Amino acid sequence: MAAKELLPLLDAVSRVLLGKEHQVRLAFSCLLAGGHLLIEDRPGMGKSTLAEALARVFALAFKRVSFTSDLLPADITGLNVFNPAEASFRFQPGPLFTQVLLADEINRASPRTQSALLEAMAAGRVSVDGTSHALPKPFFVIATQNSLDQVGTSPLPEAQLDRFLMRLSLGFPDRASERALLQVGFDPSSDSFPRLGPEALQQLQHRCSSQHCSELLIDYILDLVEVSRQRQPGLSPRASQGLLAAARAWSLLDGRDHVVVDDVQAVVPAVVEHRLDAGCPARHASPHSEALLQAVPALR
Amino acid sequence: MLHRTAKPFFKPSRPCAELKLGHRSLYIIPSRFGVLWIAAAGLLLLVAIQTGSNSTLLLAFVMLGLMVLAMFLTHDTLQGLTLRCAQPSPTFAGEPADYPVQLESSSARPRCSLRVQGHVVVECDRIAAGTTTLSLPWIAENRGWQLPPPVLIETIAPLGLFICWGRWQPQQPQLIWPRRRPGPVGETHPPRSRDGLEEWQDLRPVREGERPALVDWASVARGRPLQAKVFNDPEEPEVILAPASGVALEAAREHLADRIWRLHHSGACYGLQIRTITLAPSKGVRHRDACLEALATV
Amino acid sequence: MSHQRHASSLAWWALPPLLLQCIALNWSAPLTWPTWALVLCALFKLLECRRPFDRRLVALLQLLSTGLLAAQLQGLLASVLQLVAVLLALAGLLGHELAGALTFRGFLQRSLQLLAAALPLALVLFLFVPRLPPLWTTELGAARGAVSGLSPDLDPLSIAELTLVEGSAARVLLAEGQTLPMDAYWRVLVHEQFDGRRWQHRDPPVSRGGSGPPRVGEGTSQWWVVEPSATRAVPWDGSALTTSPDQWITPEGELLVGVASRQRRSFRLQSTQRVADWQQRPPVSSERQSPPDSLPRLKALARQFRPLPTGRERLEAVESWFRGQPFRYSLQPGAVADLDAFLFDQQEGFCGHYASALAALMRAADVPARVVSGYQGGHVVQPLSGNPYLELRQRDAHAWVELWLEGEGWQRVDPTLWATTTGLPAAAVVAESGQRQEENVPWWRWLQWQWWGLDLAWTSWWLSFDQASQQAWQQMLFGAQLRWLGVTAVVSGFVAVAGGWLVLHMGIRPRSSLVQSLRLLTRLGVVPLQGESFPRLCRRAARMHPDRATLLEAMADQQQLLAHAPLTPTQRRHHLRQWRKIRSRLGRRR
Repeated sequence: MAAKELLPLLDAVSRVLLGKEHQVRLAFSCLLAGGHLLIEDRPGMGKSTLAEALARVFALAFKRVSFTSDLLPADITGLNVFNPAEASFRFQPGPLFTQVLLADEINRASPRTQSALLEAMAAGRVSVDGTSHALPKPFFVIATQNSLDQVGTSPLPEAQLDRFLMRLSLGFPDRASERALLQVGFDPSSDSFPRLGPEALQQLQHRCSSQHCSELLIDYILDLVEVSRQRQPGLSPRASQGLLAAARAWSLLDGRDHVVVDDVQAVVPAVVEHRLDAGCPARHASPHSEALLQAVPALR
Repeated sequence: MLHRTAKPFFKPSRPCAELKLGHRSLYIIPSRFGVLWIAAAGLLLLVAIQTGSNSTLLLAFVMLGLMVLAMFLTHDTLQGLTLRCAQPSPTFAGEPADYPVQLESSSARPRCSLRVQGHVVVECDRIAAGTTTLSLPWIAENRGWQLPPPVLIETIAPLGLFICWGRWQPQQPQLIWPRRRPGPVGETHPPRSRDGLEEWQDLRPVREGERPALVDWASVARGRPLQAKVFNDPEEPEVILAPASGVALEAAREHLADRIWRLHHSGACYGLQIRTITLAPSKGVRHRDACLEALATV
Repeated sequence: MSHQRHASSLAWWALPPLLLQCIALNWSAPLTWPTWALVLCALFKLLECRRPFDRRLVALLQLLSTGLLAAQLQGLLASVLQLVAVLLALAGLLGHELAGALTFRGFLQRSLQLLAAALPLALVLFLFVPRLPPLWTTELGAARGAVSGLSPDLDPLSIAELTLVEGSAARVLLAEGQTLPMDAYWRVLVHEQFDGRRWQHRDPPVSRGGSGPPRVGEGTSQWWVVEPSATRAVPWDGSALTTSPDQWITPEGELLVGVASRQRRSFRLQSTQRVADWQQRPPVSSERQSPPDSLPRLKALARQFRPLPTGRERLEAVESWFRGQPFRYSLQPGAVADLDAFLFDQQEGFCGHYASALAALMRAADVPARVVSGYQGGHVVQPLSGNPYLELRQRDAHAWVELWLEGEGWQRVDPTLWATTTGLPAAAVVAESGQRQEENVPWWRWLQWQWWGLDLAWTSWWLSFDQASQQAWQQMLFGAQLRWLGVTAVVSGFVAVAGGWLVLHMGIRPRSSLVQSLRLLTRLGVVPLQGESFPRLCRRAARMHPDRATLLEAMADQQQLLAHAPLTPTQRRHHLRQWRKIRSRLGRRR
């Protein structure tokens, strides 16, 4: 049972991020579904901690890039450097060449740098001066974004948001969790983490894609997509694929061999919201995904 | 007195937030098919009398019995259904608007159709138990917060022998933006400039500790000394829109609505000034909606 | 789109039963053409249907044609086919509006339920609404045809060898308590025109009212089922009374039912002991006409009997002459030149020879005579389904003579009894001794007998409720208080409508586990919210009813497994069992 191997890992990461079990679970499903994760929050909410913990439990190579306004595309993809001694160009890989990449404050970078990252995420490879370089596998990007009301940022374009499977917001911890945080503290670099190798992760990812889906469930997803398309902008086919993949991962985390409506409903807010609100999270009105879930009868 | 009996059919319904369909709000008459059905049953009755056939007689009576039952069944299809307004999203005047209606039912019901009076019919194949949301299309002629005409719900299920219908005037107004019509608008450009990274414009000598990404390696390969690129952002135009002078305010609103829509889709940054309201230049869906709402209501 | 397919396939399925019955219709009947037209109309409309209204129209056309068919075909098989057609037409009609909500089987169930709901009111109307006699009468043309069996022309001389056909001709069931006559003569056709060789049957003029309006409340009932034949006349005992306006008795004593048809006819008669009118009708000139001169020897013989004063004495003299001659009964008499040759040379033949010879002889002796053909004897069948019935087969066909004797009316004389029957198979003997115990009945014959038994039982049950029995029934129920009839009818009409409504609302047993669970939850006061999934609904229900929390959660688990998990048939059965257990436990704890 997949859940059995995953449970200790989930536990460990949740212990690092107190009171955020749901978000941790979503981040796990995102990783298992082979998608990329966008975390949107204020600074200091534990975004980096989550990314680092995820990399550690699967024993993945981890790199972190702080996106700043003067960061160039070549700074993350790497570039061909001229070596005068050999009189030839040599490719010097950028920080993108890792297994888990934490792209911190992605909205501080220029749109050109952002799109370089997003293209690499989509293709799984980087192309520099006409030569293509494959990225390692698994490749998982956790991008974080400052909340939009902060100045000096350029928000991700609406079309690019579709490339992230999920968008999460960690939010403030509840009082009890924060108390524990203050009293105990934690160190994400401690070696007490249970580990699962990258091969195990790839096996799990494969297993995830073969989770059983009933016709009823596919119909449910199709209904969701159809209802969303009654308004502009609707969900793309990539979004419906992502929704199914995320629901499959969620069902695997739940220890089931088949997907149920609840799995889909659990991942819909994270998978769908950023594709519907065009990058402007509604702070006060009810979220789009909630309206979507309410509009589609789920008794099946 | 005649006026009084005709009243339920002709009086304008009072707006209400929700309507539970019942005996007082549902009307029922035989459909065209129902009349044919009765005629067929009558014909069979005649054949049965002429031939003295019991089977035919019984069939004719079964058809009559079904007609009587169909009246109750068709009425039951709608009875107890609750109609409620949901939150409508804004649309332009003169363009199809969707008015969302929630149907609440304690049990599954067969097909029925709804429409905003005078507009396109929406078929609802099956109403599931619980709540169902439907969007009814209609076209508003005027801007501002508008109430749609009454909503008609109608069914012939399950046998098609009777038509049962109800009428409901929803209470929730829908925001209608001014019609979109291309035309002149007033524009002012506020001064703005910023350094950026989008395009490199110049080269300068490399300083100590410079990132390799800034170095112009191509010129190094051609034997020149190490040089760093200097970048600058392209000027992003910003515009503040206002009603064009010399155009009637209503027409100006329509021109502005069209311009705002197009600017939004080209990704431009724009602001709006109309009457006493000024909206600072920005972009995004929320900004667009705020501008259009100001156009519609101020 | 699958629901549309369901609906239209249901409509298609309703057509074969209709077409099957149409084929059995007789082309000469006036209702046949409209029936065919309606069925074909439905067929083409179904091929061409574009709008929902067209589909409903198809269902209506199908119902209408079923009604017309029901007016013409009333046997058990036909009635079953009609019921099937009505069910399918109704299911098709339902299909358009309940689109997608039900499966094929669900539609059938739902239409059966609808039929059951409409039946109480229909029965009340059926029982209470007074029956009317036909508003007008139509001239029904006679049909001609050549189906084996009795023929309008009796020409035994041309038949060299008579084969006994096993086919069934008619079946009769008597009211309970009546004994079946074993050796009765069942008359069908009267042949009164003699041309020296053949005895011809004259088609009766289409004058209705030979029997007058049906009489009420006399005697006991006989139910007949007559197989297709070439003649309009059907077998009867010569004394029964007609019960419906499409039966009438000619002055010659033939019973005509509806139209001569190639379809099976089912009808009811009333037995009586009275002397029938036809027996007292004086002979017309054609029944007195002397044989032509081509039969000199016959005429010479007849001249010997003429001096005798009465017809009865002449008959006795002829009988003793017959018995004095070495006449033999034979099914293979070979070709006979004419009646002279038969009477004086060959002296060998079957019933047709004897009957035509005697009738000709009596006419020549100045006694009005005619040949009657029909059936004699019959075979009693005791089906498993109940009452025994008498089966008349084509081999029971027989011919005899009727003579007008002064003061006695028309009297039956069977000259075949005067011949010796040596050297013949027992079955061929005309005076078959009634009930034969057949040892080796083929299985299909046995099945056929059982089916006919059911068919007759149905006929006797279903045809017996006519205007007369309705009046009798109401008389019995209300006696002199007939004015209460209207009130009772109205009250029971209301009760029937209420009953139908209840059948529709109580009797629905949804098949899907989800719908049943939802119904259960609704009874617990838990109504689904917008977009709420079933497990969530159950969890909410569990919070509202903490005492049932475990059961509710278990129900959610089982339902979700049934709906979404990949299950083998065995696992599915197991989970269904579990789910039913939980449901019944939840239901019990209300």
